[in-house]
Amino acid sequence: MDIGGKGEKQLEIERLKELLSFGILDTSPEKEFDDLAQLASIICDTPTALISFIDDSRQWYKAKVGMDLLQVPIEDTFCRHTIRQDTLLEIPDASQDDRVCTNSFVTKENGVRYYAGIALKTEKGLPIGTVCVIDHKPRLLDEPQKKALEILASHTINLLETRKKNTRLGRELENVLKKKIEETQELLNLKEAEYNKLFQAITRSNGVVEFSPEGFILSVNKNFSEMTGYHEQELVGKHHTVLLDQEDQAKNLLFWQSLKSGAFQSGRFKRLRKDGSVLYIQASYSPVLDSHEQVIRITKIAQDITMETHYRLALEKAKKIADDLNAQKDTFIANMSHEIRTPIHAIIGFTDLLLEKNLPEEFSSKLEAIKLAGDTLLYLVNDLLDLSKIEAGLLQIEHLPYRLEEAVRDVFGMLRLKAAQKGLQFDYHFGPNLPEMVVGDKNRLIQILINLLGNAIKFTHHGAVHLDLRNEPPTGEPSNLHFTISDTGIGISKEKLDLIFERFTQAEANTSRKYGGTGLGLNISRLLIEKQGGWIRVESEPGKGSRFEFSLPCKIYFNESFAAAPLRDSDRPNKSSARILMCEDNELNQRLVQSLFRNTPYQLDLAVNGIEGLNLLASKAYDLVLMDIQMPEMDGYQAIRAIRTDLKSTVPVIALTAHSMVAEREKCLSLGMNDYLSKPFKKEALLAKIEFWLNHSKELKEPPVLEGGKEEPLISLEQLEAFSGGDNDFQKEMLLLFRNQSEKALRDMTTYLAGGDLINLGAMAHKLKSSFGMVGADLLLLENLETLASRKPAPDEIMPVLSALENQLRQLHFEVEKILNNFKA
Amino acid sequence: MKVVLIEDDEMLRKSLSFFLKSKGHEVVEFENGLDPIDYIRKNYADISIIVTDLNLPFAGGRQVIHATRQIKDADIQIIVLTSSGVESTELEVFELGADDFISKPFSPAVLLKRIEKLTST
Repeated sequence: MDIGGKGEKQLEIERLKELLSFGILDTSPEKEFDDLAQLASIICDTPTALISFIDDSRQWYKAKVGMDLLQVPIEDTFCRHTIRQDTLLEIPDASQDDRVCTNSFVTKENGVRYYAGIALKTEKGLPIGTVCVIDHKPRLLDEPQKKALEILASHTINLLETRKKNTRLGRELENVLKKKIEETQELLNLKEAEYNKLFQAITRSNGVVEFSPEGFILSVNKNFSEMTGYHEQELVGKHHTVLLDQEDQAKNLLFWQSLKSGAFQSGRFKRLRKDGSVLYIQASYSPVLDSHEQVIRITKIAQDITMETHYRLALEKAKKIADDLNAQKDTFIANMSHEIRTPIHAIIGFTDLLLEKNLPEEFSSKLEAIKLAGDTLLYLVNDLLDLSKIEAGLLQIEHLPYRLEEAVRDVFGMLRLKAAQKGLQFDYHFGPNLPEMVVGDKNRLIQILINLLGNAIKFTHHGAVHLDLRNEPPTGEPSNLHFTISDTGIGISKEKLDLIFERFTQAEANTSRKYGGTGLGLNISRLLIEKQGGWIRVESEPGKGSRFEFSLPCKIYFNESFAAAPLRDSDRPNKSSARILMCEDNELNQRLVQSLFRNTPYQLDLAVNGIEGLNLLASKAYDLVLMDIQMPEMDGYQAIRAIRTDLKSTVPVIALTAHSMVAEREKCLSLGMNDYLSKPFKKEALLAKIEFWLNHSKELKEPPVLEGGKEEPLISLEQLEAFSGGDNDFQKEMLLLFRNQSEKALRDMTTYLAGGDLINLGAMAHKLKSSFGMVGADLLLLENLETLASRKPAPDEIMPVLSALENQLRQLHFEVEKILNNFKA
Repeated sequence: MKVVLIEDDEMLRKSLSFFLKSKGHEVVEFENGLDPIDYIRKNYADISIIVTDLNLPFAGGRQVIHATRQIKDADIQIIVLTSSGVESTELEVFELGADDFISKPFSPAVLLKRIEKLTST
């Protein structure tokens, strides 16, 4: 071997290192090598074949055929020569070869004669062993055999090299894996540490329990045992239902089933302590799953919320009681209103009627007294009711346009007599640029002015009471209305000034005796003003007079058309005769209205309740209905519903009610009433309303919107436009056709129903759907009718649907009419 | 193209007729199911498409379809106007021998598209 510049020793060290790197020495026999040795023996036709490796002292056989020894000392080997050369070493007759003729294997009996071997050279070119064949007789290998031996050697070294590489790769892979595992482990440790910290924190402040999937308690922490009053050992092993009351035990099955299926649950729960007392907890139940998604245990984290829950329950209970009481109070107010006002109404009404007759002075002065007492009583009741309503938050401020001067004139009309009786100068002055019409609550303004001006008259014995009204600011857009009421009366002392707006206080304790009044008026006025966003203040000097100022935010009403709207006007010249039905159970009120009507062209029929009223309406034609709300048998609400939906009547209906709340009026209108009058009413007000509705019902007017009525348009011209390509004449023709056709269809259906012909009724409904579809009308009722008819129902099942359809048609026709009018325009 | 239109609701029939005529088609209207059967038997060679309702007086749309399908040599497409409610299912419409159907209420433009599609093939 050419060793170049390196020493032989150095080379030998490298060779040995290389040999060791394969890790083949002293390993067990392996079939792969055994097979190769076998192959060598067969190919070369020798009794012995060996694959061996040579270290510094020995030749070790990895695979052998025809050889008993495991290894031999290097001095005794043939192969030490073989590894020193690149090519095959062949010794045809060992006894004749100088290199080996003295070898004990040769010299012994039946010793080695033939040897052929080739070195196993690694990729680095270092010989680490041999493949060799041995025979006991001299011979020669032919060329193919030699070639085969070379190939076998090459195979052997390949096998070794591949193994070595695999091992190295395996090791590298192992290293990489190990590193990854370490990293993951590190991460896991970190997570676990975090989790433990979190869990510790949870455990410190919460009750923590672990359950088996079946619901048996596996562990509890100290907090939980403190919460429940059990010792830890008492709970472990018990079923969780030990903490439930009987009712919850029954309900808990489903809950636990869902937990068992892996669902997270949380919420507020009721539990029982050991002593049987109730414990409320806020808890979460988290099922813990194994890698096969099986629930292995359930962890519960709980907080004691017993105190909070008790407070909450107590609060809820208190609130409910308060709400109930409040509702009772509201009802009480409404009832009181009715019960007190009705008789007062009768007293004042009859007195008015008597006063209209020219009775002798003796009677009329007493009647005046009764009237005054009645009025006062009414004011008192109104004051009390107002106050209750304000207290209950029921008072609503209206936002309707009204004439400012008219309101003031009304007040002066009412108080002028009183002022004149005391010989007082009584007048008002309007500043420049005051808006003619404003939006607000006229009645509330009148109430405030009557109170303040009434007080001024009451406490002034000579001199003047004066109202001044101006804009604030005086020029430009007014934002506030500024009222000043000044008098030359007895005045109020400084100490009392702060008190007069309080409830039930009058300046002097004997004021009430001397001047009368409830002591509520100013308080109510202040509340009313403040509720509207205004303010009130007073200046006074005893003996000189007082000066009340108040300010209200002002919204100007601009719409001119309102100016043309009919105003209260009892002297309308051409009063029409009309038939009026009044539904009223109270005999006094009946008689009162009867007498009110005595000098009018109206003919009045009476019904004592809603049912009687409906019967009369069904049998006779009426131009107008006056409807009391509180009646026995059938009240006004039920009656109006029946009038609008069952009788399909659009007769104007005016509600007469003792409730003077805004909400009440809204309810009446929403149910289909046309108007509303609060008792007690003035004769003029009633007659004006009647006249208005008699005149207006003859004009085309919107059908009243029924409760639950649809907001969306009833008709859509989309289809017709698509079909006609926007041809207006054709659309008009179709709309007229729709009107006539649907009207006829409805008549036909009614006839079919009367004749029990449901098949044709259903067919007609079906057919009408196409027409309805063309105008985009709602098909629901027709579909109901069609389905109903196919089921052979009782006529009284069909009737309401047909009625509803008639109602729908009326509205549709109204819309059609509007559209047709638009086309004309 | 000649369209036979059979619909008992006067409004829908007139509108549809107006619409189809405005699109340049010849429309023959019928308000019952009996008269068109006779008409179709005599004029089948000229008719491209029949648009028919199912619920009709005297004879239903089914009879119209059936009678049309009995005529040999006739190449007539049929579209059925169905409506939601207690009427036949769409499948039934095809089993009757119709080529297409359209549910009421429908857009005339969509019906026109279907007519054009059927008659172009």
